[in-house]
Amino acid sequence: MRFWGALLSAMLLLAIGSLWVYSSYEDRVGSAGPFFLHPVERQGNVTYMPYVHIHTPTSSLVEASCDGSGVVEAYDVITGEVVDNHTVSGHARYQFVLPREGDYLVINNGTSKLTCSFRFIKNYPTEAVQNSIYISGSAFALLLALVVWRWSK
Amino acid sequence: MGRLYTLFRWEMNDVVKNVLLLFGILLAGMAMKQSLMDVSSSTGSAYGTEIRLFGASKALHVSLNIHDLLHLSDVWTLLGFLILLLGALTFRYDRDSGVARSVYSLPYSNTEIFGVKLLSLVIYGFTLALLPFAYVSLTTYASIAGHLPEITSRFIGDALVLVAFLVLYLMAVATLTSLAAPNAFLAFIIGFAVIYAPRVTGSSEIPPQLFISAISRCWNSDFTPFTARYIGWGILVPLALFAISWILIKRRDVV
Repeated sequence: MRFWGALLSAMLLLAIGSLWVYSSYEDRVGSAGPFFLHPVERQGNVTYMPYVHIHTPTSSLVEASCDGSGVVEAYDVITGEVVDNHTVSGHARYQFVLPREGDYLVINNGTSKLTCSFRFIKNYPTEAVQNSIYISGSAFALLLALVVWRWSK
Repeated sequence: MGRLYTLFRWEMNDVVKNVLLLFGILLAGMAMKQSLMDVSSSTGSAYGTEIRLFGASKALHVSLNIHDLLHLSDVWTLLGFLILLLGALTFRYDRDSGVARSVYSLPYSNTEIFGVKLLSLVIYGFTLALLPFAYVSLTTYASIAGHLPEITSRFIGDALVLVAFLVLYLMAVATLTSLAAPNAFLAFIIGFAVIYAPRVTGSSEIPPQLFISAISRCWNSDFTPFTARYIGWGILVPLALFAISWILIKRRDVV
């Protein structure tokens, strides 16, 4: 009985702690790069593709700062969907959103060379993450209430 | 069976052990959560006629991050500490406080008492090690939770086997030192020395360092935990230590 009480309190506190971690991570500016993005080269049916893998633990608003010219494309690694593409010539500073936590692939799909760096200026947990924490937290709280209620009888 | 279950419930519901479990899960979980909260990146290139860039198995950093959770130095320091304390509380503290005189005079054989106490230690140990890991990795990557089995397939089996070996070893050391030492503090300090000496001397040939560095290496596809060294330290040594503890508890009077 007391074992379950301790276990459920720990998990409930862990759920609350996770939310707190997200609130303090929200404004923490992360950075990646600068990266030298060599353009994708195709010769016949052979492709040479240099790429950058970026990982974010939340969905993030990213500010890219690029020099050179080319097309910066970001893909979700798991699904292969295009998240953002932006044509750069000269210097460009633009923002885009990485929709969920996970890995992203960034390539230069243009013809000449680019240097890019990325700043992660806002980080929010996705809805799925929030739901998983709220639902598990509520379940822990309810079970804990049940344990305490049976305990007192 | 009800007779043993009463003993088991009593053993599981010890207040100090419960408090330890509470803080252990919370601290280990928070340490894991904090370690995930970072942006990381890497560069690479693909070359060939057919390039496969996408798919769950290509999510390198998610996989690496979850893998890192299992060999965080903070977490293993904490778990080593807590499992030693749990061992001392389970096997030694009841004797120090005098409770053991009553418990051991109940109609249970020493072997039954040992078995039940060991079972509760095993449950506590594995709960502490695995529950925070599972919760943190599932909630942090909830949007891609469906892909996690494929993302982690590269290391998860081997890594969990090594975690089990390491936890078993820690519990075996905790059990033996608790039963051999004259009081709970000494049991804890001796266990502490046995567990921490290999870490501070940087010797990676003996546990716990052996397993912690093996967990970080099971990323390589040619790595397997089923070699004589890992099975020896992870199963045979713990079994031997448990056997010695069993003999000690059968032979020694409750002091």
